[in-house]
Order: sequence, then C-alpha cells, then structure tokens
Amino acid sequence: MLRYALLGLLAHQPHHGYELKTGLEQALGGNWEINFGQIYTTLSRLERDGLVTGTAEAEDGRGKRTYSLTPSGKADLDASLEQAVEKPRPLHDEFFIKLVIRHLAGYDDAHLALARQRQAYLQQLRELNLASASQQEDPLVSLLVEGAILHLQADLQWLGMCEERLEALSK
Amino acid sequence: MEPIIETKEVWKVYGMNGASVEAVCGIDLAVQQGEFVAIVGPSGSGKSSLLHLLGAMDHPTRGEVLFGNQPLHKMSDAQRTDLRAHQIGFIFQTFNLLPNLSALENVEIALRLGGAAKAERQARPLELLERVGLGPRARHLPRQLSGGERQRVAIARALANRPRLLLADEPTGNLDSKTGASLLELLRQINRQDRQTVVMVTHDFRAASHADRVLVLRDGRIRGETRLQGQDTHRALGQLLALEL
Repeated sequence: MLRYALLGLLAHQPHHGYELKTGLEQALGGNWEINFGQIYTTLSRLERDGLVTGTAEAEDGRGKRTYSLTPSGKADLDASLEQAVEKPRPLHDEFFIKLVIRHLAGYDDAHLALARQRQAYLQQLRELNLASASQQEDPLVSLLVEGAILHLQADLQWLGMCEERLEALSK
Repeated sequence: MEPIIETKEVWKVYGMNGASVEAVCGIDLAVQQGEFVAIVGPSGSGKSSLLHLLGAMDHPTRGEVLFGNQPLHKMSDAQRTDLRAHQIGFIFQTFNLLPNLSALENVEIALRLGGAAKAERQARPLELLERVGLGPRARHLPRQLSGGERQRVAIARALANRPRLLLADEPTGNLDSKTGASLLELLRQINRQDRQTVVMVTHDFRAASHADRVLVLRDGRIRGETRLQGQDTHRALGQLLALEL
C-alpha cells in the first residue's frame, strides 16, 4: 500500500522524499513514523517502472530529487483505487488458531484463554476509546478508529459465544 | 478498607408460573470507595436484577447485601428508603426526569426529597448543572433538551445529595455512540475528581471499557473480571496504522 500512498500524494503535486514522508505521516494522524529507507526504496522502484520521474535539483544529478507522477503512474493509481478490496478481513484469528491448538493438545482450560483474551480486547477497546476522543478533529483517522472499535465489539461478542458453546460441549 | 457495597453469595430467584428463574446465582462482589466498576452482560444475564439488589430496590432470595458494612436485610423499609434517598444516586436508561419541571427543578426536587437545607436547595442545583455542562440550559424543560443533555440532568440529580454510591443502569442505552462516549467521559471525570464511586451495568462492551474494573456477567454468574488501565492512546493507534502500509 505504501506504493499507492506515494502515488496518491504525487497525484496532487510533485514532492521530494522528505515531503512525502511528512505528508503521509500527517495523513495518518501524526501517530506513526514512516521509515525513510522504505520510502526511498519504493520511490526508486516506482521510478524504475516508469510510474514516477525524479528530477535532481542540481544538473550533475546531486541534491534533492523532486518526484512527479507520470501518466502510467496515474493510470496505475486509478486502477488500484477503482478495485473493491477482494480479500476478506482475515478470519484472522490468531486466537482462534490458539483455541484449535489447545483442543489438539487436549487442554480443557479454554475458559481461561477466553478470559485472558477478553481482558486484552477490553484493554484495547479502552485505548481506542481514548484515541477516539483525541482524534475527533481528524475525520479520516477517526473513521479508522471507530471501525476498529466496532470490530473489537464484535470480537468481544464472539468470545462470549465461544465461551457458551464450548461450555455446552464440555457438559 | 471496607467496601462501600458488598454482596455475599447473593441469589435472586423469581417464581414464574410454577417454574423458577435464577436471575442472580451466588454472586460475591465488593466495590471500594472511589472505584468505577462496570458490570457487562447480554440481556437476561441478570445484570438488572443485580443492580436492583445493590440499590436496595429488591430483596435477595438468599445471601446478603451490605451497604457500608450494614446488612440491608436487617434494615426496616423506612431505613432502606432513607438509604436510597441519601446515599445512593440512580441513573436510568430512560432518564426518568419529571417532564413538567425544568432541569433545575428536577435537581432541586431530589434535594428536597433528601431533606437538604434551604440554602443548599437554592445554590446546589445550578452548581451541579454547571458541573455537568448544562448551566446555560438550567431553565429548560426535559423536552427542550437532547437525549445527552437529559442524561446529564439525570446525573446532576443523582449527585444532588452527595451519594456514597452512584448506580447507572444502561446510561448510554438511548444515546448515539458519540453522545454516549461524552457522557461516559463525564462519569469518569466525576469518578476521578470527586472520588465518586460508580457502578454501571450495560450490555455494551464499549461503554464498559470506560470503567476501571469490568465484571462480565452471564447466566447470573460473574464469568470474568478485568482491571483496565493506562491512557496510552498512542500504542492503540500505532498498532492500527502500522498494520497495512
């Protein structure tokens, strides 16, 4: 996705690498530092594939490079954005795998694992609630946070269902 | 330190058409001064029955409830009524304000019922409404207020007689999630700043996660207990955002 994020920023106007880094960090709510090296690796790959062009400040090819989007870069970006995300949210679920492994191993203390997992989800929910309060001025990031909260609520309900059904099985 | 409220092996069994329904099954619970506790469970888990027992609104079938070390079942009806009027504040899902009285009068009547002196009855209602952010709307009738504002009035009313315990029954059940979140934030503030003890029942994990201790109730039993901590929003956001790019 970093590739498309960079193309998206360049679709707006040409930038040099540092601007791309800070622009992206800002768009993500200023909560995450993006690795510089990762940005430059991606940029040079995009340049190699003809999706962006880089122009050096000095004629000898030194100094800051300013990148701009090429027509095929724009086409690539649009094609990516027009596609619905096909991959379902992974039924992830590391915790589910652990439940299965417990079963394989013949452990019968799933209720303890469920209780610990609930604790972890509740703690995350609390932190996201606080994040939701602190990110209200950034509409995009706050949408992401609200989405994560809804998923956590579903995860917590699902744990309750696991508990009930596994209990019924063991009776 | 002795708990504000405590249950010992408390049961509530209802008889219905010859069958009996066990709503609360031997719950042991102790809430300390200054705690914010959430009891979360689906409908039918027994959370309302438990809240009624904690609020001295119902008698347990077995076991006992102690309020500040006093067993409720040894009190007379008059003593229990007195306890509810002075020591316990209630907030309900449906707000339960008196429709023909202004916000101010709704708070004042609680003080009157609690036997407050005249000076207090005059000064405190507005103080409380200001505390919940409704000073400018003190003269409005409930129907002139939004749901969130009505619930703020209900909080002010519940705090009128400086109760030792604030009980909240699905306080955000009739509010949208944003209004609900700011109401819970207010409850947290009151809990922190005034060391007000709060016990809230809810079916909503999100609401529950505002509390410092969460008890999970199912089929009348406590199935789990979690202490929540920390204010680290950074970590949660970092986890979210670090995933994809």
